[in-house]
Amino acid sequence: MYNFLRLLRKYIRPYSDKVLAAVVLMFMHTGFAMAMPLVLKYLVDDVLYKERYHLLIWVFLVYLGLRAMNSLVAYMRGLIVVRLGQAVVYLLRRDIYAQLNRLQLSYYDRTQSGKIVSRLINDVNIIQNMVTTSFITYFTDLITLVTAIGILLSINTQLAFLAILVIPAYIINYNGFIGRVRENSHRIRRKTDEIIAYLSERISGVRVIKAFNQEKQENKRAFKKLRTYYHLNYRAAMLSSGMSIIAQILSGMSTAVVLWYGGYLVLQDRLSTGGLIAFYSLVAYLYNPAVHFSQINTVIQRMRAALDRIYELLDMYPQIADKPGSPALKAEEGHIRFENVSFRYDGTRRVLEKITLDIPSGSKVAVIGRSGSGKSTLASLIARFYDPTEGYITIDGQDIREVKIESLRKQIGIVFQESMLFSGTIRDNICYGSPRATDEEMIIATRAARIDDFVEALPDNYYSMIGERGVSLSGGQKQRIAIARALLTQPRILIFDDCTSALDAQTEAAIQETLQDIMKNRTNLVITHRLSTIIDADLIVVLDEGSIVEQGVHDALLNLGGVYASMFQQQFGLVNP
Amino acid sequence: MNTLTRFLTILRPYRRQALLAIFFSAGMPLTILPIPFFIKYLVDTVIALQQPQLLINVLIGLVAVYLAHNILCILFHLNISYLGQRIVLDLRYKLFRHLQRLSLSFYDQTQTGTIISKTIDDVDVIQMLISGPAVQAVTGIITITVVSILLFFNDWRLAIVTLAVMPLYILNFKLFIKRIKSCNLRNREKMDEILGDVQEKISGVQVVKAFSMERQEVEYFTSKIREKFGLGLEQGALGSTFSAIAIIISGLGTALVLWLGGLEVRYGLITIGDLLAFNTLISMLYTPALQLSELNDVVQQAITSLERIFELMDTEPDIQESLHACHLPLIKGSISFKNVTFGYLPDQTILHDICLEIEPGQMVALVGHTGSGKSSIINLLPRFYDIHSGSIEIDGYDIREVQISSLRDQIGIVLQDPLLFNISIRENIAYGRLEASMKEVEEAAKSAEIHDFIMTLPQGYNTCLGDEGIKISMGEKQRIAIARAILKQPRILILDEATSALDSLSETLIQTALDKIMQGRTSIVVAHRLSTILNADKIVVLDDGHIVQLGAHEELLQQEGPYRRFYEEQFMNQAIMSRPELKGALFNIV
Repeated sequence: MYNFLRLLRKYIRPYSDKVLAAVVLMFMHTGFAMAMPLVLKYLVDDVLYKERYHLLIWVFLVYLGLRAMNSLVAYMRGLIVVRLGQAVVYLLRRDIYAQLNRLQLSYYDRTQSGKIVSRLINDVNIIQNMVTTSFITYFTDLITLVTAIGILLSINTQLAFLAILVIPAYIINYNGFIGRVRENSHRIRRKTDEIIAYLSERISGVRVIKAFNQEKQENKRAFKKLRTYYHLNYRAAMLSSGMSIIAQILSGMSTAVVLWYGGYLVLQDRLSTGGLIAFYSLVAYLYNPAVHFSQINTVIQRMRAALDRIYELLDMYPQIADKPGSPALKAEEGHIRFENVSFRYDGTRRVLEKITLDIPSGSKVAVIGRSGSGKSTLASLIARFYDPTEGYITIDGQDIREVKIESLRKQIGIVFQESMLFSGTIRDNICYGSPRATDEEMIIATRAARIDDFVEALPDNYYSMIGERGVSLSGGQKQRIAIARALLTQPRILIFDDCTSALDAQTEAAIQETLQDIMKNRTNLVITHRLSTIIDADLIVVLDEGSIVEQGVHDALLNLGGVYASMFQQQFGLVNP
Repeated sequence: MNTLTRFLTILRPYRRQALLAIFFSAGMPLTILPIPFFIKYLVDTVIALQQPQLLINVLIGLVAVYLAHNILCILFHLNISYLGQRIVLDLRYKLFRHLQRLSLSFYDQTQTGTIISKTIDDVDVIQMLISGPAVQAVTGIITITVVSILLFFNDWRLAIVTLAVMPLYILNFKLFIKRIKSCNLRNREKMDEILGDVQEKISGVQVVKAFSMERQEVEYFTSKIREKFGLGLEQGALGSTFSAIAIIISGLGTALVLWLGGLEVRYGLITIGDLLAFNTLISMLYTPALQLSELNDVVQQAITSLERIFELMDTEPDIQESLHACHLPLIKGSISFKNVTFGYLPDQTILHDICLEIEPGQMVALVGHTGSGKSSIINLLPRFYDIHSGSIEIDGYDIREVQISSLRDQIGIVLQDPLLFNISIRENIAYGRLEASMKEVEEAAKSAEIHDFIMTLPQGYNTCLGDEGIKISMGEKQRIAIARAILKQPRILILDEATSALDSLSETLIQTALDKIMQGRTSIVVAHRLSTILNADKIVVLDDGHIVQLGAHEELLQQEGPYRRFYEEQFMNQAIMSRPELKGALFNIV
């Protein structure tokens, strides 16, 4: 409920004029609808029984007028409500997306992407449905209920009490079902998330499924999941129809009693025939909202669950964020220092252990080590994708946690192990991060990454589209585009995270050659498995299980005869040194 | 075939339930039709003739009517919930099965978001159609027909007036239907676009952050949802206008009846009870008619969804099993590429006239520059794609003439991107052979040098991998992928740069394991490492989709050609050349 108030305050209050207009229109709508049975009463009692037939034309005109007003009001209400709903959805999605962009990487490591998407799409759709449909129905029903009771009491108190007597039964019915409906709707949402995540995973892994001939097994797996989903949804349908049918029985029975007892009152001359007819029409206004109330409950429950999930996300505190008033990074040198840095991912095993490392400006430092030794983590700490658990990192003497993140990352160019490209043109991808780059600058970066020939040979060259996952490009081509993308930002610090693994030796050598120039005057961190590319490094750091086990230049390490020397020998095919 | 007709064929297995649903939805309105006549009876007989003893008939009659109605309602709900949910299950399962059949080229061209939204959202729309509007349509049509007949029996003059309004209704409907339909379609398409985009940015969040593009991404997203906002307004405006006009038209009918009916009472043509009964009947007529016209919105949406679902179902897999495909028996593993030409798109040529013979048990290394066609060659062997011309034969069987599963069963693949699933490590390793025992799984893991790592995890083999296996390193992922391929005991092994993200130590270990496994198996390896090339029986040098050199390492090294250049570049790059003292050492290795 608290979250609902927050939704009201933040997203609906800016439109309070629209809400007010919608409420006024709802009152008018109910008013016009309620007046129609009274026209009927007038027709029977004052025109027909009293044989004042000249008034018939007025009945016609008033009734038609009421209907026209009703239609106009409904139309205006529709427009306002749609606008309100769309606006709320727009604002919510914008804020959720902004929050997603604020959250640190560890959130993404923990959360399935299907679940994230579902917050942004499905849950917001539920809120929209609530604002545009349920909200309005609820409100209109409430107004209708109160007005109807008032009019019924004015027609005949005794009969009105008889009709109203049934309402508590409605409420009991509602409460009997609500708990189970709520629980079930939670389970449905969770299952939906699970199925979406399952689907997207199987779609991106389709190659593996086919290679391992697992289509039939996957079908079975999918069927099991879909079947559980079916049972939950079936149960939900059963629960809500059970509730609404009991409500219907209650309303049907009391209508019967009203006509019976009302007939008796007419015979006793305590009620006019027209009054009974109007009463009969109005009773529908009493029970229909009550039936709706019981039906709307399901929607409200879903809305609550969706709202809770949305706010859970919005309330998440970004663990990596700018401190208030933090200055921009001044990285004139690009001197990186790790002081006693330890790191572990959310309470799991330790990834880095007391790392102290000095990377002087303008140097080329290579980090090598077995897979899982913490090399990539080391690099991601510099860009502050994660914060160290202990110790700190400085760039030109400034603790990176004390400066603006954007200013930090703008100084760093990273090429990742998995070259993630986005759908769009090649140009969009290369200029990602430097949207204002000129064509000339872009071409220079492309040339340095040795992808210019390939791109220029394409029919649309730089404007060629690449697919969702860059499928039409080979791994090496993707890696080179990713390199060009990083070079174009003109960073002070360059980090290559094993990014040339899919390149053949010739291309890699060619890139190395052009990089020589680019690497000058920048601080370079190279993570690699190919020792041939780092022989000339100013410092080679050997990581093992999160600790630095050796560091030095190539010759020194080779003479040391330790891990590096044996790695070097293995890589170059020497069985015995 | 028309979309709706086709939808009926999906309903066919449930025709009994569907018929029952129609029966119930027709019965529900019919059971409450007597109510207006009880009102007439009450006004004209009980009240006008002052017969209090007859009052009890009204009560008994009404209670009976409502009971009958509610019993039908209960039966109907049981029936329709089953039907609706069952069809959703069927449709989703059918779609999923179809997705499994589709070839890789389909996935290359389609965004994940679009596929998901078709299997989830569009199917939901269908379910809503079945349990909501489809029923309302039946109920509405039955009610309108029966009520119209009753109206004529009651008072044919008033009936004509009432029904005269109907054409206006239909006109209004016709006027709006097209625009509402196109608006719905545009709305859904926009949503798909947004969804696809969001998914991509979420999986690439690291890049977004590395380039500090958060603000621009939010701005881009905002501009997209703003466009969606506009479409939403248009949709709402169309719907509101349409139903507002419908309300006026029905109001006109009722108003006319009250006026003209009053005049008929004046001239004694009908009684007051008749008029009241008539009025109640009309309200029964217009409500379903209103529902029917508003139905249009939902039905249009459902048709759009159906069209999208059918579009997916109609996509035929490019790779079709030939009708008389035979089972590929246990192969020795000879592979023969005969004049193979291939491209991912019909008008594209990646491989030109490839001819290649591989003997059983041979290890073949593919060597070439990025984009030279190495990945394409290994994509063709398991028949992920079909070639444009030529043929590929395994043990003399054309791979297009054998059952695809019997072909892929005998091929083990380790791909560039390991692609593990969100299931336990054990299930991942046993992915190709679910029936494998724990012992076999462990042995495969040991061969792939990943067993020790797995044992350090708190839950060992039962550890679940996160979203796309994010929490373990690339090297660990690849070793699990290798174990997965090893467990399958394939006759042909394909390694696509599988060792690229491994450090040289674990690579050596894996290499030893792979060497053992390659014994007696045909293997094709895309790798740039010396040891692979040195061990290969045959090296295929590719350039721009052509085989430019073919032979063993020693042999190729003797020749003047691209291989030698390639080989020299691999080890004698700039870095080493700049250190003369190393040059000697390296040449000694050679």
